[in-house]
Amino acid sequence: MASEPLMRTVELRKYYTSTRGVNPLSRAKEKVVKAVDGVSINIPEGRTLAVVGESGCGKTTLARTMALLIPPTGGEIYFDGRRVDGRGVSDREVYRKLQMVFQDPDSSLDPRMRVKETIAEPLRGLTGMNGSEVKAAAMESLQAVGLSADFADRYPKQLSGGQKQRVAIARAISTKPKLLILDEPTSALDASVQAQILNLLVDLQRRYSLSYMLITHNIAVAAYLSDVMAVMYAGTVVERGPTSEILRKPRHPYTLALLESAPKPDPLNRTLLETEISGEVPSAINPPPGCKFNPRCPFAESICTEQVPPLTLVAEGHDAACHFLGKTA
Amino acid sequence: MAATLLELSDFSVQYATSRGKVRALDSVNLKIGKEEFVALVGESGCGKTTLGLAAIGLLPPRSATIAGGSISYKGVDLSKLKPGEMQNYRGSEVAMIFQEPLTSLNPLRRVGEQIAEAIVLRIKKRDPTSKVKGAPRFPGLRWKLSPGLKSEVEQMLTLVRIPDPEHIVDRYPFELSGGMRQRAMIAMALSQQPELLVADEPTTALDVTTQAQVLKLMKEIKDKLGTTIMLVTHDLAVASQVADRVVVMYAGQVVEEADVREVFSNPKHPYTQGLLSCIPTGTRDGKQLTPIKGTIPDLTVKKDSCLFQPRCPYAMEVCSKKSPSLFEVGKDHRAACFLYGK
Repeated sequence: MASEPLMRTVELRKYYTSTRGVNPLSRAKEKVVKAVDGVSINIPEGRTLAVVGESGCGKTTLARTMALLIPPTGGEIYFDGRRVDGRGVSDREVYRKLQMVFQDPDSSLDPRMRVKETIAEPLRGLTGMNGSEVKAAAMESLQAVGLSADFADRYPKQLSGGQKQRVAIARAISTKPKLLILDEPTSALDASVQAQILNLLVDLQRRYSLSYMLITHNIAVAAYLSDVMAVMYAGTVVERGPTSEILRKPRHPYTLALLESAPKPDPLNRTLLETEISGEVPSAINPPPGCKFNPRCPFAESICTEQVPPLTLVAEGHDAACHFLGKTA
Repeated sequence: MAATLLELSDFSVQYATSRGKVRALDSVNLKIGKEEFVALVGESGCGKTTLGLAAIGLLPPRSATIAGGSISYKGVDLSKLKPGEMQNYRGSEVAMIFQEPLTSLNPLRRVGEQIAEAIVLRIKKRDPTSKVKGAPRFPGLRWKLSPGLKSEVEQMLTLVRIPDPEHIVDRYPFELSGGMRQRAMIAMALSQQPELLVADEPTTALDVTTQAQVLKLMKEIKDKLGTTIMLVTHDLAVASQVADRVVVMYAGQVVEEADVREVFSNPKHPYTQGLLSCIPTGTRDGKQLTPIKGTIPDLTVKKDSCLFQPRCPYAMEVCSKKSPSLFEVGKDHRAACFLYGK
């Protein structure tokens, strides 16, 4: 990709410290959870980056850090041509162009706000619009997500799950942002509703030339929606590249296992029953030394417990972090 | 099909709610044969969990009423069992695993003690004179497992492929990972050697790599012990990977049932077809998904029509006049749709 990405991170880190109990003496044994540990990713303009991985891999922390909802421990975040982490950056300026959609609309929508108030809230806070402009923009947003004007006066409890997620999306696009960070936008929805929301997201992207960062554990959704993909494991990106290429030729053993275990609706191709993966995502407080995937990896050798493999280019725009990339070629 | 284990005929269940009676199951006819791996699939609110609960006699007693028909296990009508008989049936004939293992395990008891409890129950059921000692009456007391019991617990843990069973026996549920807890639940369910295992969304709370391991384990158990498995899931892809037979439910009714290969290669009911076209497969490449339009019907209203008719692309006049029964559409393949019969 020749053009400058809309958003990029350089060695982004977010650490949490965990203290056990209230005893101040135990503070000496303070443990550090490296939720995001040196992540460099690009979100190309007008396209979709999917960040996939299992729970606890740090994908939501990454999204929240990039959305400036939590301050990073280290590293850099660039958005729309300038650095946005650290001091001297107006959040409001950034939030007008960057909005987030959360997994569960039941908890992300205020139950006491009417739909129109919910959608108008970012407009009031982030733009200098006057009352009638806000109203017009809110209605436009509502229409853009496929809800009729009758919905404007309803409360969230009067809406179905899919309709609520549409309202959450309408709120996110009301300020005409450039980037939407979608954190598991369809995980709480039924299959038929999920399909509606996915179609809507594709449609909105085309119409408003939006860029998306999609956080999901669902490989099928990531494959369908994204152009580029980053696979995370225990706080680090283990593979990144064009989605079609990763699906066709995954190079990191974890990506391989993830793709095999993701159930496909095909009874003649039961890859799920053939997958060899064992164990679970390691504890973030006490990760294994070296490559964090080594205890579960079929190719692991002694070097894997000693050195962290760097991301190595395997094809144009596609890199993976493994000592034995030759074995998956 | 082998001998029938569980049979539902015109089985209906209603829940009393403030909005009126919700018809959660509406004249369900279903047979589950011995040693089958059946998946019940459908979206939320379709009645699949109610059916699972009915199979183990755990319908909420205050709100749920059996409004008609019968559910029988090996020819015995479950609704006519006395509470004591039900208790006997539960566990030794049929066991259940739930979605969230953390809420179904006792947080204050070690995993080994909980599995031992089930084993002691089994021993006492088979031989009421047995002297085997159960859990201490006082809940706070630690239960020191006898060596024999402990080795049986370890065997169960090995069966569900928990590594290092000697140590896991003494762990509390919070000390285990999600996948381990679900394995422990399966061990507990299997320790009474049930013939039918009802699994209600057993892997929905798990990560995909863990889900794959748990599903693989269930398949193994079915093959090794001959346990009949009824898997309740919203995920058609999961069903396609493990089940032998798939039963598709919609709005409290069975709309289609067939061999797993048949359902996915030759779906007959418009709802099944719709569900399948909703699942994204591979990259987009300009393809659009075809969602099912509309929403699920209000189940408090009794309708004499096909319940899918308002959302159906093939709806005909007859569909709004009466409700279709299950028509034979192929070998062991039935669909409740007027496209295939009158």
